[in-house]
Amino acid sequence: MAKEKKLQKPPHLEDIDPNTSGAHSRQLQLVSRSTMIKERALEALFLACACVAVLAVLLIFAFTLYKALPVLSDIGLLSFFGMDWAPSSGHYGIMALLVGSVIVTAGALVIGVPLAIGCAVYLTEIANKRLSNIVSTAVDLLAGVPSVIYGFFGLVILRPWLADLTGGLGFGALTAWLVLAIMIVPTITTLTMDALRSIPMGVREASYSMGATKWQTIYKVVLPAAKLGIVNAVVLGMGRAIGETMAVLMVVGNAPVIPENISSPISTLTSQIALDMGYSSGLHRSALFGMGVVLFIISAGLVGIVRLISRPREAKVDTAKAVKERAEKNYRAKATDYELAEDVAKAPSNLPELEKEQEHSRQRIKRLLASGAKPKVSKNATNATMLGVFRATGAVTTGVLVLIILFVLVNGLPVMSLDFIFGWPQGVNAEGGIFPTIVSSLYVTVLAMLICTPIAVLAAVYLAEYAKQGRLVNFIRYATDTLASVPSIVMGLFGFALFVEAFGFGLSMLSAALALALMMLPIVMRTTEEAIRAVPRYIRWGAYGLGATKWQVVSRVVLPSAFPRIATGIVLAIGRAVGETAVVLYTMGQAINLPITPMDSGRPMTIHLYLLANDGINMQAAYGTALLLMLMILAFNLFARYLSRKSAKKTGGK
Amino acid sequence: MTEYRDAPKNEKTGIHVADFNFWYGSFHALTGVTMDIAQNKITSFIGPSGCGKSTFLRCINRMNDLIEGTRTQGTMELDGNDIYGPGVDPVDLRRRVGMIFQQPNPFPKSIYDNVAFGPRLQGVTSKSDLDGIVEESLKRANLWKEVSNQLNKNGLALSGGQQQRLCIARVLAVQPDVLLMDEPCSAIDPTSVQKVEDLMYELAPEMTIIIVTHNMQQAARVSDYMAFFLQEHAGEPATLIEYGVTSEIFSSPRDQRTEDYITGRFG
Repeated sequence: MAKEKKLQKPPHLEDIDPNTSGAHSRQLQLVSRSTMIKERALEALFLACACVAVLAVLLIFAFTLYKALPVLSDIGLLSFFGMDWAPSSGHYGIMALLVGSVIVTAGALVIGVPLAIGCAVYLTEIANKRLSNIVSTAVDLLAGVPSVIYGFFGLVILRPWLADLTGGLGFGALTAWLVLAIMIVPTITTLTMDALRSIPMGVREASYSMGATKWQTIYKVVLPAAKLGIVNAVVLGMGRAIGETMAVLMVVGNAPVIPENISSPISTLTSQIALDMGYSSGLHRSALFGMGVVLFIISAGLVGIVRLISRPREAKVDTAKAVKERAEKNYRAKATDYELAEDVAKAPSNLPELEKEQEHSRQRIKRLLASGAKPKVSKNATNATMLGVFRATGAVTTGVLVLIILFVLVNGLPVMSLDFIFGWPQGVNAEGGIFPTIVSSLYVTVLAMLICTPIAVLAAVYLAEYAKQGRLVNFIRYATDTLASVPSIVMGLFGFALFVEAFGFGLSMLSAALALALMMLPIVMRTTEEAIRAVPRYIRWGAYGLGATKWQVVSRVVLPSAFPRIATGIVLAIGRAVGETAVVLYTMGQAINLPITPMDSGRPMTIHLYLLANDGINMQAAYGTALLLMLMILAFNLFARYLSRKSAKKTGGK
Repeated sequence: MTEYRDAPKNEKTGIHVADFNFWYGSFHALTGVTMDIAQNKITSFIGPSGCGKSTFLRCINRMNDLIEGTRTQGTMELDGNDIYGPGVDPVDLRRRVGMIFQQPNPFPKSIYDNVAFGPRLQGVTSKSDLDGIVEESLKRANLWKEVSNQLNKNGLALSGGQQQRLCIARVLAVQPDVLLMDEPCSAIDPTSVQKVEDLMYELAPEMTIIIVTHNMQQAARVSDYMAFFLQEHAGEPATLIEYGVTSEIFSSPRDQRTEDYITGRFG
C-alpha cells in the first residue's frame, strides 16, 4: 500500500504518462509545468484583450442595427432611403442627409487635398530644414485640435464673411467645405509627409544626378513612389470628413433638404443625429440609429479600401519567391508591356551588326537621344513655376492654420484669469468661470484611460509577441482599424443605447468614459504594438538565452524598453479624448455639475464651448474655453513629442 | 603645400581643378585641391574615412548644392568651362556628369522606366527610340541578358549587384562625358564587383571615370591614375596629398603619409 502511494503522481503531473517520459525529462517538465500553465493562461488573457476590439466593433454594428430595426421594418428600406425627412409627420427618408454628407465631404476634399499634398511636398522637398521643422510641428499639433474649435472658427469668422460674400446667412455647404477642408488639411498633410519621408534619400539623389530638376524629381520620382501612402492619407482624410459632426453641425444650417445652391442651408447624417438625438423618440430615434448604421458601413468600407490599397506594399517585403511569382504574373497580365518586351527582345536578331562595336552602340544611343524634342517651355521655367505653386500652397496652408491659432489666442487671452479657471458658471448666460467643465473633462478622460490602457496594452502584446500572422490577426487588425474609423457620433449613439440605457448607467462619467475608452482603444493598441515591434530582436534573444519564459521576456525586457513610446501613444489618445465632443454629447449629459462619483453627470469643456458658441450668448466664455481647451491639448501633444524624442535618444535613434 | 601631383602629363585634361576649397556651413572640409583629371581614363580617389574624397567627388557634379549651407571656392573646369561659373545650371551639368552611388538606388519603377528616365527628361518620347536606348544601355551595362524578358519588373526586385548595373545602365542611357562612382562596389557581392570592374574597363575609352574606393586592391586593379586624400587632424580641412600614375604610387610613393596608408599603417 505504502509503496503504491509513493508511486502516485503528484497532482500537477497527473496527465504525464510515466511510461513515455523518462525520469530525466520528467524532471525537466516538473520545472516547466506550472510555468507553462501560467504562460498559457496569460496568452489566453491577452487574446481575450485583443478580441475586445473585435467584440466592440461587432457589438456597435449589431446594437446600432438592432435599434434601427423598428424604423426599417415599419417604413421599409426603400422609404428609409427616400427623399423626405420630416419626423414630425412620420417621414424618415435619409437621402437628402446622405447627399448632404457626400456634398460636404466631396467639396472639402476638392479644396483640402491639393492644399495638403502641396503643403506636404513643400515642407519635405522644398522648404529649408528649420522652417520645415517649425511648420510641420505646428501642423502636427493642429491635427490634434478638437473639431469643435474648427467649427467655432467657422461659425464666428467664416460664416459672417461668406454671408457678406454670397448674401444670406452664411450657413451651408460652402462654409462647411472650408471648415472641413481646414480641418482635414493637417491630417492629410501629416500622413503625406510620412509617406514622402519614407522614400530613401538615395532615390532623390539618383534623380538629381541624372539631371532632373527639382520639379521633375518630385513629379516623376517622389510622388509616384509615395503614391500608396498619399492615397491612404486621402482616404483617411475622407473618413474624417464624412464622420465629422461638431464642425459641420455648427455651420451647415441644418435644413434636411437637397440644397439649391452652395450657400443655402443643408444637413448631413452626422449633424442631424447630433441635433435630433436630444428630443427624439420612437421611430424617429430608431431612424437616427439607422443613419448611424449607414455611417458605420461607409467608414468600415473606407477602411476596407485602405487595407486593399496598402496590401501590395506590405506584401512587397515577403519572400523573394513570392515577389518573383508576382512579377511574373504582372508581366503576363500586361499584354502591351509583354509585346514591348518581345519587340525589344527581337531587336538584336534584326540588327546583328550592332553588337560588333562598342563605339557603334554609343553612337546609336547618342543619335536616339538627339531625337528628343526640345520642350516648348524650358525645364527651368516649369521648375520655377511649379516650385512657386508648392510654395504658395505651403504659405496658404500655414497662413490659415496660423489664423486659427491667432483667432483663439487673441480672443481668448483677455478672458483668462484665475477666476475663469477656478470659478463656477453663474446665471443663464454662464458668466463667471468654467471650473466644473474642466473637472468633468479631466475626470472622464482619466477614467477612460484607466479602462482603456490595460486592455489596449495587453491586446498589443498579444498581436506583437504571441499571435501568429494569419487570418485571426488580420481580422483583429481590420476590426481595430474599423473601430478607429467609427464616426464619433456613432460611438456616441452606441454609448447612449448600451451604457446609458441598456446597462442603466445613465448620463454619467462612467457611460462617457466607456464610450471614450472604445474610441481610444485602437489608438493605444496601434502605438503600443509599434512600440513593442520597435524593440530590437537581439534584446529579446538575450533574455531568452538566460532561460526566461515568454512572459518574463515580455514583462521585464520588452515592455520596459517600449515604455516611452507606449506612453507617447497614451498621451496622444488622452489628447484626442479631451477634445472629443460628439461621443460625450449624449453619454455624459449637459448639466453643469462637479462630478464626484463615476455615476455623476457633467458637462465637459467641449460641450460647454459648443453650447456657448451656438447660442451666442456668452462669446467671452466661449473664447476662453476654446483657448484653455487648445492649450490643454497642446500640452498633451508637446508632452507626447517630448516623450518620443527622449525615447529616440535612449534607443540610439538619431 | 603638397608637391606630388604632377600627373598626368601626356593626357588630355578632362577636369581641371585649381586651389579648390569646400565648406559645410562653417566647417572647412576641403582645402587647396589642385589636380588635372585625365580625359577618358580611370582615376581613383583613395584615403581613410572622412578624408573628403566623396565630398570632392560630389563637387564635380554639384550634388553638394542640394545640401543646405555648402560653399565652394577655387576653380573647377570641365572641358575648359567653369563648373561653378555664373549662369551654369547644375541640372544641365549633371546631364553631362553622371553618378553611381554606394547604395544601388534604382527608382521604385520598372527596369524599363528606370533606364528610360534620363532620355525622357531630355524630351525623347518616341517609343521606338526609347526602346532602342533602353536596349543599348542595358547591353552596355551587361545586364541585358538577365533582364531582357522582364523589362517591366520592378527595379527593386533585382539583386544588389543587378541593381547597381541597372543604375549604370540608367546613367549610360544619357551618355555622360564623365562618370562619377562613389564606392560603387562596397554594397554588392564579389561576382558583381567583377562585372562592374569589367564594365569600367569597357567604358573608359569613351568617358572619364572617377571612382572613390576604400578597397586598395580595386584602385590598383582598375585605375590608371590615383589620388590620395587625407585629413591629418580632426577639425581641420582635408586635402590632396599625392596624385600620380597608379602603379608608380604603389611601387614608390613619394609622400611618407601615402606610404603609411597604402601599406596599411593607418586608416
